Amino acid sequence: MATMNYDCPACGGPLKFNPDKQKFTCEYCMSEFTPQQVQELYAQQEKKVDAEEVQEQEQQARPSEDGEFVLYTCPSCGAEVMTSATTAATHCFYCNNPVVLGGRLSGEYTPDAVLPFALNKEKAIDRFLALCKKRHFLPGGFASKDRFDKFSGVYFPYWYVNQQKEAHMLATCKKRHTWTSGNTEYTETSIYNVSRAGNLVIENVAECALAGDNDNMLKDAQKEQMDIKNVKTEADKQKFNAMKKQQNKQLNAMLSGVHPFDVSKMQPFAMSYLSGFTAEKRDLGKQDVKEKVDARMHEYAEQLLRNTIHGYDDITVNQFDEKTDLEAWSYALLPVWVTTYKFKDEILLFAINGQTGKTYGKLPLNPGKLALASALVGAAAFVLAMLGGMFFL
Amino acid sequence: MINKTVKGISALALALMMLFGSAAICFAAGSQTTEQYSYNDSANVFTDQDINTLVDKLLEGNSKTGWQFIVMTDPNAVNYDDSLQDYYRDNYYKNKGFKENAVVLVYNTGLNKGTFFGTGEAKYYFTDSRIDETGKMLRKNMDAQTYLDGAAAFVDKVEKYYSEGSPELEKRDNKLGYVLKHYWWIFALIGLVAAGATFGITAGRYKYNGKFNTYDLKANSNTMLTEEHDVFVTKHTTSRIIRSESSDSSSSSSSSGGDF
Repeated sequence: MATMNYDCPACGGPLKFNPDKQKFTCEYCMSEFTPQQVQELYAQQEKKVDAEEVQEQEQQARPSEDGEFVLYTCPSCGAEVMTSATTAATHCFYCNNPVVLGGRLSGEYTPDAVLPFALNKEKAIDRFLALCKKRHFLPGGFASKDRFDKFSGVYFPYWYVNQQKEAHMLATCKKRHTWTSGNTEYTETSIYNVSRAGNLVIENVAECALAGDNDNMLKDAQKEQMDIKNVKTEADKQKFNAMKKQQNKQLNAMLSGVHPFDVSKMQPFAMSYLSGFTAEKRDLGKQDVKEKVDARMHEYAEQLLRNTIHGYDDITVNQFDEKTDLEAWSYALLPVWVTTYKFKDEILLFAINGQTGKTYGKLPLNPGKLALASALVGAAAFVLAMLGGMFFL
Repeated sequence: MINKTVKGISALALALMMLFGSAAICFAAGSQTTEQYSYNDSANVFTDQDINTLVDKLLEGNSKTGWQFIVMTDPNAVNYDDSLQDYYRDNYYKNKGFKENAVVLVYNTGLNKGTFFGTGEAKYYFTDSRIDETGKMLRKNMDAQTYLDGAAAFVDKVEKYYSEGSPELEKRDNKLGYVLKHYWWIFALIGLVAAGATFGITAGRYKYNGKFNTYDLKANSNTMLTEEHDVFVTKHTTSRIIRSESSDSSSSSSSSGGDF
């Protein structure tokens, strides 16, 4: 069995990580344990979840009818737990006990680090509602606490990359000096050839390690809209694929939109941090995201060298070369509160950075309200322009 | 008997004075000046019948505008510097004690040219386009030697301009009305742009909430320069003439009009 349950040593109730206290707490007997204590308590059990066991587990796991989900047995109540292929931690649908599918996070899939949740669900919802308060054109009743009670805490997988580079840049730069004599304006343009070379260190470039075809978070909303079981005709298939594509796009945008995180608070990975939350394992390797990472690194390196050219009015980069000397990759799980909302046949995805509280997501808009406000602004601008015109025309 | 004759003549004179309805009547040959109008046909281009028609027209113009209407014909090829308008304003209008608010039309048959202008409040009614329009019309009449028709049409034009109003006076007396009437479309455009920008920016804030500033390059990078060269190559100088804005002559001059 590659599942892990973190039970209270005092009463046997489920232990969950409490972001406020940064400790594990038992909801039944209110006992508290530090992450170190829990790790020591469950060290032996976690070790058992090795690669061999994972293989065995994967063989025993039965794929669901549609082939997209995998069934496991809840170690607490014995019920079957249905998860997507990348889910690494979840809750039992029947007993709500937190279940960590340790096998999914072992071997080559063992993360190097985890950034524990620092924001609990209440605070995350408050952050989101605070954002909604600032947005005056939301549909009526949208910003209610009840609606967002279904925010769920998810650890998402990311690749973090540091690089040390040598870079060289050649640029043509211009300085302009303008003066007036009589009714003639003169502009003197001086042209310079500028070269810069240097050693650059670029750190903490994060790239999502989830392909985006995972629909664990979107499944409820998606199923409301269209279930794969209902896909029968070619038209249905096209519609379903378009919807999936849109959802993947949304998910990928969300996974980058919740950044930045304060990576100085990263902890060495321990499975226990996942208890009480949902977690996704990576399904993208280094090679899958390397091109993307390299492109970003290249862009950043050019930007860094360009920023060292000062005192010119115009800079044209003619040549830029860079070479990577050192590179370090790490695989980390980062905390995000996430939920979906169906608005006018569109599934909207909202996310909150589980550490900083940064909000992400396309908010629904009441176009009537906004049009009215815009018209008022337009009318005010008309009046102001007219009053200004009385002075200047 | 003599007394009766004197009384009869006096009564006739009084009746004539009442008929013309003016306190100051000059009976110079080919010219007449009242508070309502003045004509001086030195070039002798009008018949007696024409004069009657002209007087009626000038009185009509005066009753509609309140301005004194002055028509003059001059057979002399006068020497003038810049414009006929300035010449006749300085050498005729200013010397004859005409009313401050007056409209003047001069045919100079010696030069085959003419001029017209308004003074006082009337000058504000001669905008550039109106001067152009009136000048062209008078030029045609001068070429056709239909001086009376030209004068009558001139009076009609002035009446029309008066009823249409003066942008300059409008601006002075009712700035808000003037600004709204002439520039409403600019303000409407500004209002539309403001409304559109408000809609677009707000909708963008809803759509792109949290999409930006996802990586702080400055905080996550370090640069150590190993080479830094700035080599001067060449320089060149360009120049352009700054044009000064032209001033509005119509509002600063004591009259406004044009030659034809």
